[in-house]
Amino acid sequence: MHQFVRLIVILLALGCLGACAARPAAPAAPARGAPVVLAGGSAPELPAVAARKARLEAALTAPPYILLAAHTSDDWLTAAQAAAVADPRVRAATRAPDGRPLRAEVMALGPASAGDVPPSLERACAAQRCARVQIYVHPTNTTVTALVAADGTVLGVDALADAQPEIPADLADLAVQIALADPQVAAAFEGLTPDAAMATMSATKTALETTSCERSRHLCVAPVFRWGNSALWTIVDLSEFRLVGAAWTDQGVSGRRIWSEATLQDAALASLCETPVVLERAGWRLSYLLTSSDGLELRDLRFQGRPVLVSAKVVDWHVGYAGRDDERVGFSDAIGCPVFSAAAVIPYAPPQIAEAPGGGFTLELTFRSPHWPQPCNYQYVTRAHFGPDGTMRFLAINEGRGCGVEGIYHPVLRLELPPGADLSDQNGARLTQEGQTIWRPGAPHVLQARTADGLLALAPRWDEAEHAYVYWTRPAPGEGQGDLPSIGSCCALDARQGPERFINGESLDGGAVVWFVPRISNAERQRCWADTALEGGALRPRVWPCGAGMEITSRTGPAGDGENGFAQAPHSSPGQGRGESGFPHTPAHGRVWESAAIPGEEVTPWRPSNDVRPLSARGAHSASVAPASASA
Amino acid sequence: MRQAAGANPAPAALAATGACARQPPFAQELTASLPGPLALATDRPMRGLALVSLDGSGRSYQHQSWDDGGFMGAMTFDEAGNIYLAPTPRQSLADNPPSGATTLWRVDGRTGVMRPFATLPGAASERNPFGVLGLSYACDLGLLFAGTVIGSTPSVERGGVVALSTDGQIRATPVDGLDAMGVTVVRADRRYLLLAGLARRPAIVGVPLDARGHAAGPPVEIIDLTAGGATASERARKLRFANGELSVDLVSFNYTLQVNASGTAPLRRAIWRYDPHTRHWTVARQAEQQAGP
Repeated sequence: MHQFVRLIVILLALGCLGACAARPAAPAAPARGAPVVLAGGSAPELPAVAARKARLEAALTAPPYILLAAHTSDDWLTAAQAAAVADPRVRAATRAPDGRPLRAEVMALGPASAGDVPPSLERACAAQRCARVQIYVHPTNTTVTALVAADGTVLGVDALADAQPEIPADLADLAVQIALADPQVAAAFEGLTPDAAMATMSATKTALETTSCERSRHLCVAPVFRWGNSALWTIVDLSEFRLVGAAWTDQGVSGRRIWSEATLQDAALASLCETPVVLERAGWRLSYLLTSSDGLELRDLRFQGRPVLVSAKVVDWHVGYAGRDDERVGFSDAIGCPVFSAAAVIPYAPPQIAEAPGGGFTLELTFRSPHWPQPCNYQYVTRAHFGPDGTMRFLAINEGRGCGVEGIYHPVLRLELPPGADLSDQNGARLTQEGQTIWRPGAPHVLQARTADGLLALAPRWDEAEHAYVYWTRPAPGEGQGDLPSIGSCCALDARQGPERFINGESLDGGAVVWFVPRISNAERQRCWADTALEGGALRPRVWPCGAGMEITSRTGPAGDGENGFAQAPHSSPGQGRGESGFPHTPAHGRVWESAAIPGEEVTPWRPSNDVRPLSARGAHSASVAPASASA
Repeated sequence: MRQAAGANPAPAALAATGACARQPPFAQELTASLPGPLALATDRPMRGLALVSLDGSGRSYQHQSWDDGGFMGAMTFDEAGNIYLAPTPRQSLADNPPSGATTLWRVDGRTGVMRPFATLPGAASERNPFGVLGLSYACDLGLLFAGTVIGSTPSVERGGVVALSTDGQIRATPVDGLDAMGVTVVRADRRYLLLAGLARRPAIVGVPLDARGHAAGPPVEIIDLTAGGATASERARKLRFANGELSVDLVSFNYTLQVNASGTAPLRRAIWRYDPHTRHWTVARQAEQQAGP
């Protein structure tokens, strides 16, 4: 309600732009306690948005399957538009390979200016008027420009990938409406009283800047609300009709474009890499922090005041594939902070906290490669479920797509037990020294930990896992209490997953760390997979997730000798569909994208010259010329 | 750092200083087994440096020492055909531990053997595993310029540009406390101008240099890369100056391994032209994607 009131204030205030021009000049800029905010992700329920969506949907139902420019008073331009959208080259650029139409709309229609006409067409456009028809194809982020002669001849068609056109006035208006309708923008004006807002908005000017949504590759613009020397930048996604985020800047008057989708997202998450966030909910208390390369770390977990875990995190994702000559190849993917980190896969949005079906809540964070769900790009989710009964599930989830159909994932989960915890196996036998074992679905595997405050049981959550390597080690600073670099082999199919290197005969009298490394094989369009599907003219990711993890149950009071105090651990088998990761879903964003080069490195081509001596005279080389691996 | 009021501090016409750079003599023998055109590359799947054939055969050559420093990034040549390289982590720190991030490597132009060349002061860390992100050899000065981000944190910039002589000694630090990526040096009559792409903003600064590579003035921003179509997250990772034009290779950079690890990011390039009469840089070509290797 509070936010709604603020929103009304802003709408009234901005509506006052003209009428209030005689009011006093602006005082100090608004308070900026949170200089960067990310929006929630859904389109506002605005009549203008609904109307635009309806027009786009209608355009996809009948030829030419392109949303045409609204109105033009010049018949020859209308005819030119019709000729352009009927051109086979334009049709090809606005269709999927199977012929289905992609969402496309005419963004500009008008007489071609001299600068629009390439030299090869100058003569043709000198003899008669030429029209320029510019079409934006949303799913491919491509701008198609057609030059059409007054007689209806399509003189040329140019499709420029990853290029976005100027937008028409009605879309610009819509962008401003979307920005103002979002509660995040209203919240950004926090600190102004209603009176002050209304009085000072006469000093506010709105401009539409260009910006980039370089991660989603959507059509985005930036309505900027300038306020003296400050400016509120908002980025609006006109492919999804939603606000991406907003930020205050002191450089608003300079016009420098320092904000984009990526910089907003990174800035919004950066503080989570520095300062843990404390979460108290449903009897649980914990903090969470984004690490450099160990993903989202949950710390000091307590239920009703009793310690449950010191730390829970996923330190690595090992991804292996079958290579040539029985070799295995792959990656050790580190997940972590989006800025200043050793992470290869980063989050684009803050952790999500939600009510869980059946009670309790979930905390999860998604990490994504830049071109997911393309091949060799990955999406990982760390999810924790906190039950109202003191049960906590910690899951490592993969959402594809991988580099092939024979991928094997080994997420490395690290769970540090409360200090002094006595560890024992499912039979109650104490584990006094570091060790390891393998667990398989169907057996009653469980580890038990006796603490000063009660008992803990750690059981596997198999979901899609085939088996798991389990290790127990003594806590140590260099063994994961801080950020842990990649450990183990990316591609080993046995227990050489990294934690084994910490097993060196030490006793567990100082507590214990349990490492759980499930093995999960991917399967095309079944598990650990992602693909794109054309829906309503837009390409959307489709996900077949996979995952596994551990369930930690806490129980108060001491247990008697030989009594473990817990029911049998679940005997589930993998792939039963009961897991929390086993249901395909379609995230809101993602785009097919093709490229080859790896930035950060370079190529220096040359042709050899003749002024050098042969190498054999020096005998310097022992290596041989070998076939290169597949191109990057 | 000062902001330029639309003007460049450099005088009149500019000329490149890297024209003496020579291709490495050791590669000549390899032409028999590696049909040209050839390229030295650090962006291939193998670790380190590789000599690759661009004829589509997929053939390549790698000296046994060329992967000793892990994955490599920036690269430049001197007049003897020696190759200077900077390590750049790609997928993880397993191949490029932070302890090696400050070491520059040199491939001897005659023998082809790669050895450590110099170690710059400061230390990389897991929070900032990068060291040197740009290299350029200025023939006129006989100096290797390196753009660095060594030891920088989210709140403190400790990078800059250092100039080394060919014996590996640091001779000057013309930029300090300003994280830099791509660098190049241009000549204006008898004066020099260092151009450095910033690592934290889409901008290029200019620093006047004396004949020993020392700064003769403060860094001045001379190019806003967004005017050439760079996104707010892109930086100038490679600068090349020739025929009055500055070619700028762009890369998204946020001090993580994300872009390098993905292996699919595009190489985008924009070009600026220097007008010696107005002493302004103007966009000659907006940023556009280049063909991959």
